[in-house]
Amino acid sequence: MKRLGGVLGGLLLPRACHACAVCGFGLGQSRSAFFWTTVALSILPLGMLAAGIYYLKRVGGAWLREEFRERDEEAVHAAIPRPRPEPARFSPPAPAPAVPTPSPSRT
Amino acid sequence: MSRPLVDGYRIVPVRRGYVSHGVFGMALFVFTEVMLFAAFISAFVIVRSGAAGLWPPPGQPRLPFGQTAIHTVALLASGALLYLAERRSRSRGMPAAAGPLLAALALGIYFVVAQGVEWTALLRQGLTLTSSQVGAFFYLIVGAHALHAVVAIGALGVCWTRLRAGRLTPGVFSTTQFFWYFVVLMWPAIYLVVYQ
Repeated sequence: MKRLGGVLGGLLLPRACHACAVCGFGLGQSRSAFFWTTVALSILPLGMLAAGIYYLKRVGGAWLREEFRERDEEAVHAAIPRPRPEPARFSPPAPAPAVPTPSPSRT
Repeated sequence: MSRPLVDGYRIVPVRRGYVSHGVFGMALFVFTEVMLFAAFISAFVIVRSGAAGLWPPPGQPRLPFGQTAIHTVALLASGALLYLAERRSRSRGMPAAAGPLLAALALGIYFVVAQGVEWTALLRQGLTLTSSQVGAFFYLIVGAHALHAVVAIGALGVCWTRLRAGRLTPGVFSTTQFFWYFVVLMWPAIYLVVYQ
């Protein structure tokens, strides 16, 4: 019953149902201040985030490219198939000098 | 991917940090502090707009706008000198930053002391934390800023002593600079909104 009374009261007397004391102010100047401070407080964190991202993009771009250059170069080198080096050609080994075997002594 | 051995050691390139951990942490801290001061200023603007032109309330002193302008210039000059110190440290090495750093520190101390003198005068004129909404907001906002300024001056003092001892690292210097720039750049916004 109380809830129904509250709903009916809100429908019949909407001005009495302002939840926020600032919104309920009668002064236009106050409403304007509330609106503009809300806008500022909404934009400020987004602006700071945007400034941080811009800083990272502007200053950090070159750093990031340099950061991964070595790794990327290694990856490219690993990915490119390279011809196998030809086996070194050696001249056939020279025959071992004949070692004279002592002949069995004949007694 | 294994790296080749050179003289029995595996050569692994050392990754240099993009920003020092101190600067990154300070950036996050300053982000939250900016929002804190923005909330203070926002509440102040809304309350003042509801006063219907009676600001400051009857019986309360006007805030010294002209006198504080001198303090503001000193604080801005302090920020500029710290920037000069940073430029010198980059171009000529850390010892070359000693002069501008000391001047920035002195101007910061002057700002805080001058603000303290101003507070004393206002207290004598009857502006206290509980005398009116002007006093409550003034001491809350300006007091919070002064607290940050005192901490930042302490950090600048640490930088100065480390510089004299030859132990000031670029990371510590950059972190302190970040915090001081926040203190310097936040003040004009407070000054223009609260003192008018």
